[in-house]
Amino acid sequence: MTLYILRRLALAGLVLFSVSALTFLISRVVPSDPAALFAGQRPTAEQIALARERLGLDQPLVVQYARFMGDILSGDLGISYKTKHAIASDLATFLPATLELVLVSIALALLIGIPAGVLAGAQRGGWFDQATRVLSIAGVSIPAFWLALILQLVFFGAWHLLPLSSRTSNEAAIMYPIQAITGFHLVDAALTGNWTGWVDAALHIVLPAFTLATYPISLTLRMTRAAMVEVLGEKYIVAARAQGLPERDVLFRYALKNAIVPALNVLGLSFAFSLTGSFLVEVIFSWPGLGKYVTDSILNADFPVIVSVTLIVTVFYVLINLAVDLIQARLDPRVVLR
Amino acid sequence: MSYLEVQDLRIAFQTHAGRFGAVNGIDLALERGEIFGLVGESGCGKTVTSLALMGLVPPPGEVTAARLTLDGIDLLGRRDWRDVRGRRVAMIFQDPAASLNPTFTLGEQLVHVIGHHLGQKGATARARAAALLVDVGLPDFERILRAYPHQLSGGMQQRAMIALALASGANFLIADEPTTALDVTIQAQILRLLKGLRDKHGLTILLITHDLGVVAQTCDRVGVLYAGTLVETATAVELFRAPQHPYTQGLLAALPRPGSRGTDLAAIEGQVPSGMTAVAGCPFAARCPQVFGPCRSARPILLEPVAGHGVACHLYTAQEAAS
Repeated sequence: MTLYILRRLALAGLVLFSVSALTFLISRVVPSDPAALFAGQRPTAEQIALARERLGLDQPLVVQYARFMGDILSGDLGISYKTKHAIASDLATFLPATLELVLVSIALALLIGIPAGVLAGAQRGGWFDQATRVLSIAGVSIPAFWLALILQLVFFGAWHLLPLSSRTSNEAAIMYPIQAITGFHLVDAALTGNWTGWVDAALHIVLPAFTLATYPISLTLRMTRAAMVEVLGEKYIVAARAQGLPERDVLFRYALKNAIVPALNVLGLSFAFSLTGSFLVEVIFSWPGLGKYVTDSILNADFPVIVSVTLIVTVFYVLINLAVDLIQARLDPRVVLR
Repeated sequence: MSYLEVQDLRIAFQTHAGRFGAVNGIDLALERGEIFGLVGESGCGKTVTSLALMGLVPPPGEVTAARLTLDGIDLLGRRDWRDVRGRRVAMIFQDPAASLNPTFTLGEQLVHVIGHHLGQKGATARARAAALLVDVGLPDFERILRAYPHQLSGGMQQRAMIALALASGANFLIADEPTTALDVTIQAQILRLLKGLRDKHGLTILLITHDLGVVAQTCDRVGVLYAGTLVETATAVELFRAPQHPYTQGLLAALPRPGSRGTDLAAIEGQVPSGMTAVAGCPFAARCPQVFGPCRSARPILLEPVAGHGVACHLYTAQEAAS
């Protein structure tokens, strides 16, 4: 087990190295001039030349890559060409905002998608199955930006139930500011006992998290349903019923443990994808997150930012997939990790 | 009144192609403490009969009967089976590897069933689980409790399955082809175990099989099913000594015997009629070597020309009428 984890982590190092090399290479071959960006507005030729020298862009590619990797390994992600901010400190503000949003949306997918999938699979062809089938097809097909607008229209515009956008309201931010500890508003507010701030943050996260969750909820639901239909046809389910176990135990204990793995795989991938795929949601809800940050940097050809974010997301991908594999092995003893 | 009483049990499935009659009127009576063998070839309705006793006939199956009682309790039209499944009736299956949940240890499965039915938890439940394993011939219970099903051999899996079935304290055990997936030496051990459990705990066992050898080794009485009807019922000794129904005679003649080496095995010509078409007369008429007048028009009813030996065949209907 430990050996397996170590081997996977070593493999992850290899993946990270390849991804960094690839992103670095792409950033150098696209036709744009980072030095011109760095030098500011309307630069002179001398300013650009100076910038090129300062950024080391006049060196051979190999040297550039070695320097770049050396900096990253020593924990220095560099500075943004555009804003001149240290990327590490940018990430420290934007990453927690996105992580919080994505975690809440994945939690929603777990709490809604899996039980609903179990019930749909249990009464295959029944009204609940039909209803969730339609809803989940809608869930994967409806564009997030459209759904976001409709949700804002209904819950903010018509019913005044939920805030329109951003992470906190201005009143709460002034009266009950959330002290930054982890960067997760919900965690920080709870840690400091700032319950007014917590409620405010919670109300703000509902709509963006739900918008972001529609796709994973739908996918998890369908995956769980399909796996349940298969598992419920197994003999050990007939045997469990013959043993007189209540249907709740049969479905959520005996069957689900055998049927949950595909859903977990999908959730793992959704998690990693949402880290940067949350861009549209973040823009519509003015959520100060990673998606918006990286999109701005792409539009500005701000390569150090692009490369840093890519590497961060890669790290998450690798870790989440490893976690899913370990959970799978824990759930099904027949899975041998090697 | 018998322990298990079944009168005119019928099970039908409404399919797109029409109505499929899986069981077409079976009468059974089992006494407390006996091992009753239900014999028949594939598709004759053995398994679905046993599922009907637990309310586990899969949809769209419809179960009807004139009477269906177990120990005086009505099993007909029941919605709530909690008092029956596990508590009174337990079941084991043909393929023990597939009937045990692969993702829980046997200890977890046993303790869960014990906790649900007997309300025992923790050490008490584990002690009962261990005792059950010893009871079914798995003295190495420490290891078995921690093991997942795939870590056990087929024979051990079936023993564990029996322990799981009995964990809830049922007195009636349905064993659906319990030895078919096992090799012959293990088969004999499991059958001996079932007999031992009957002797020790006074279990009543309904043993479903297609194997007349299993019947001979284990059963007190036997019912022979053909195309969803009971064609003959007798004590095991009587059935082998003096089979009455032409189908049973054909089955016994088809058994290989030590003296039959080098000769072709006898076979029953023809096919089992499909349950899709209702047969007016005797379902065996088309294959019967002794078919005559009434066989194709009237369905024979189960009579007892000899006390305790029932047979549904017009050969004996005529005899009865004459005497």
